[in-house]
Amino acid sequence: MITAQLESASSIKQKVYQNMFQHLGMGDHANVANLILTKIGNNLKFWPDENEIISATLELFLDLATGYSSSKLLISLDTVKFLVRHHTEEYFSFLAVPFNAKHRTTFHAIITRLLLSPSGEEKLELTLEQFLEPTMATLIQLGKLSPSELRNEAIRRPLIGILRDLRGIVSSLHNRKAYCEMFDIIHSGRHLQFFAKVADLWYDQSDVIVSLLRFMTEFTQNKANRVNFDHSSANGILLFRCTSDVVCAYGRRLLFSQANVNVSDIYKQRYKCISLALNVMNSTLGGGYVCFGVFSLYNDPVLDSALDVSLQMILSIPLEDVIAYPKLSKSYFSFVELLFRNHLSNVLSLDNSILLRLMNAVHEGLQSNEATLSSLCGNAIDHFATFAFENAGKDKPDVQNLGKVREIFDLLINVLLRLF
Amino acid sequence: MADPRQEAILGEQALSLSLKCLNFDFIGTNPDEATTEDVGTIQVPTTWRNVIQEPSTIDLFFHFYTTTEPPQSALAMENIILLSSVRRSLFATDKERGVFLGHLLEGIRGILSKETGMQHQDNYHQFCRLLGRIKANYQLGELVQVEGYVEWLELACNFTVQSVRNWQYCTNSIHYLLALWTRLVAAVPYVRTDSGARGHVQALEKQILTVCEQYISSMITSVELVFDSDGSLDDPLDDDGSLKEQLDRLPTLCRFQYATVANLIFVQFDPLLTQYRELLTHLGSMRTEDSSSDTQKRVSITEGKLTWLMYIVGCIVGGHSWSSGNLGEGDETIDANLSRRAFQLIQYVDYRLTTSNGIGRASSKLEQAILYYCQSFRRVYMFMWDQVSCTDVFFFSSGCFVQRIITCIISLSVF
Repeated sequence: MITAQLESASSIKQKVYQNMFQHLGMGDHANVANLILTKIGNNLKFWPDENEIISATLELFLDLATGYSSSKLLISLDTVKFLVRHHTEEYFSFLAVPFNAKHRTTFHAIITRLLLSPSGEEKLELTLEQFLEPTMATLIQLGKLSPSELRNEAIRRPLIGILRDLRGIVSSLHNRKAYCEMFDIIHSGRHLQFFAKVADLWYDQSDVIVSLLRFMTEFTQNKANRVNFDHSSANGILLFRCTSDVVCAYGRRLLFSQANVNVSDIYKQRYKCISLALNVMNSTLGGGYVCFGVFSLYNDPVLDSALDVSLQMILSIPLEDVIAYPKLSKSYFSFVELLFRNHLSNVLSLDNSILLRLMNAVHEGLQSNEATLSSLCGNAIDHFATFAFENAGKDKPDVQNLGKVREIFDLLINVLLRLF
Repeated sequence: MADPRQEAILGEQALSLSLKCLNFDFIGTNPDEATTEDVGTIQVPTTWRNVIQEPSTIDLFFHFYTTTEPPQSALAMENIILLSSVRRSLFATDKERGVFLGHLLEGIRGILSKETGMQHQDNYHQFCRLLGRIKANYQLGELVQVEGYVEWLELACNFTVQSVRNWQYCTNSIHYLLALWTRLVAAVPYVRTDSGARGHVQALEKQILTVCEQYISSMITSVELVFDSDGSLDDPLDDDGSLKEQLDRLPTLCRFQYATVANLIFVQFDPLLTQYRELLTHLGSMRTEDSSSDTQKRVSITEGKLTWLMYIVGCIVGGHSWSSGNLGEGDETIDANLSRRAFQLIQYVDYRLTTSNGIGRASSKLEQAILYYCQSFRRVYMFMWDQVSCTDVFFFSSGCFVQRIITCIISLSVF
């Protein structure tokens, strides 16, 4: 009975649908889709300077590419074939308009998504590698530049552009196969070192650094378990090295330049970038694809340096500022939580006063009204207490360090009592 | 009191006080005390019953409204809005509530028929809010029982028509009025035709049609007025907020008597399309700005009107529902007929854009409206493509086949 009803409902729907296209008189649904896609392509081509049109056009394009059945249809259209082959400034001048910088990410995310959709490469007759050719060519050119050439005003725009494009592309790598392929292309082209170079040379220009760190956050993000290399592969470690180099290069420069900061713009100048750098650290530390133990085993300092620089960055911010900027406080406490979760011995080997400052921050965050913050801090304390409980009385250097900070526990007990 | 100035001050203070009392968040559900827009039901305590139920209370505010000037009169109107939103359960019986509603509608009717205080922007805005809220707290079934409902309906319709006609003075208030009509339309299926005043459904149908017609034609003619005003009138198309609010109400209104309203749109759309095509042929691959000032004016007005039509068609087509009970009544045919015109326009605009290599661009407002239309079309008609297309391959391919034969015949006949 119910199935009969369902069937009749769906057959009514089909009739309605057929009626629609019959009376529309624009051909079948593929023709109509082509009409809309042509409109999208033309807008992107001929309205480069109208930000509102570009933005609304991309929104429409994104919605079409996200829908399951419309995306399937899209990859059979010539306009899309053209788009995936010509995603450069030469053909689409909107990409070259600085104001459209953030649209570059969206645009590349959309076309990569279409290319990587089921049988997309086949239907569009283009592999990911071929698709990436123009992007990689730019990366190779930029990689060849000497430090002084790279830090040239004329490079700023192409640099931001390529980082935005890459971020868009990487954000659409939705499975292991696609991610590994992309990683191989970047790695085999020896581009992994390039990013740290940019961080080192452009550290004081927030627009470049923001684009770089946003890309890195995306690149290190293990969503849908896509960063999943073979057991025998060193790629996870290579990726972490690259991440650590970027964070260290930027962080060291930033900490060194501490003195000359304009206070009125401190968020944009410093905190925003620190927050993004912490996001990079958070996605790599929480990604679960790096075996962090090997670094101390082979005396590789990359992990310790990355943690050290990140710690120094967070300690350089007054606690009231951390609380005042919501985005910063989220990345700050996520980092602290990860630190306590996986790298407690690093924490315990810190200087007493630093450890106390960290605990103080956790204490402060625990009382936040924001549920995500207070639960992050609660977890941090849980990791800490669990360690102390499980290792009590054992003869380990970490436990001895723990003994030095008894007052922390008094502090925490006080908080607990106040909470109930 | 001897001094009229003192009296005015006292009156204003008293009105503010009662407004504050009624605005109180009685059951602690209003998270943001700052927002007074779109108040829900007012949960006044039961002990207030006698005061609020007593018809003289609301009459007092109406009296105050008619005898004062803003800001007092606008404050009085705000009080009436809140009183009209008092919770159902406050009244001892439905009869009491009916009496209260009767007084409310009578007061409104009085204002409508004499246009009392409507010359003041403040009064006017609050009054529109009141009209917009009437149907939110009272069911259509209750409204039709009230004496003089049909008359009230007609007065409200006239008022709406006048407001829409004079859109330049009240862009922010129109959507309240449209909201009233939308809510009335939405309630029609739930009201028995044989209850209440005789022929109330027909009356409503008539008024709705008038409102739709007036809205569409007023917005289209607004383009010329804005152009001729040379910048002294604000283009309602630039006011994104109000535009969106108004468009949100249109689908329900226009789809109520869809075929008739669609005809109204066709009558506007078709000549404009022809005109626009002629203009484009005339322009060739020239920029609009490089043509004669007369052509520029004609292009700009035609594009402006088409912009409105694209928004209107976009929102109406976007209002198509796949789940409602009236699926299968052929509304999709009308959607298709409206959409065909929209796609034709898209083709014209694109043809000019590509043949002139990006030099001949339409106005950016028209392009925005086109994108709005495409989004609506995508939302309702592009989500089930593969489910359907696998079964109707034959339908389409045979269609294509026929089309091809026809093209063959046509091309043969040329020789």
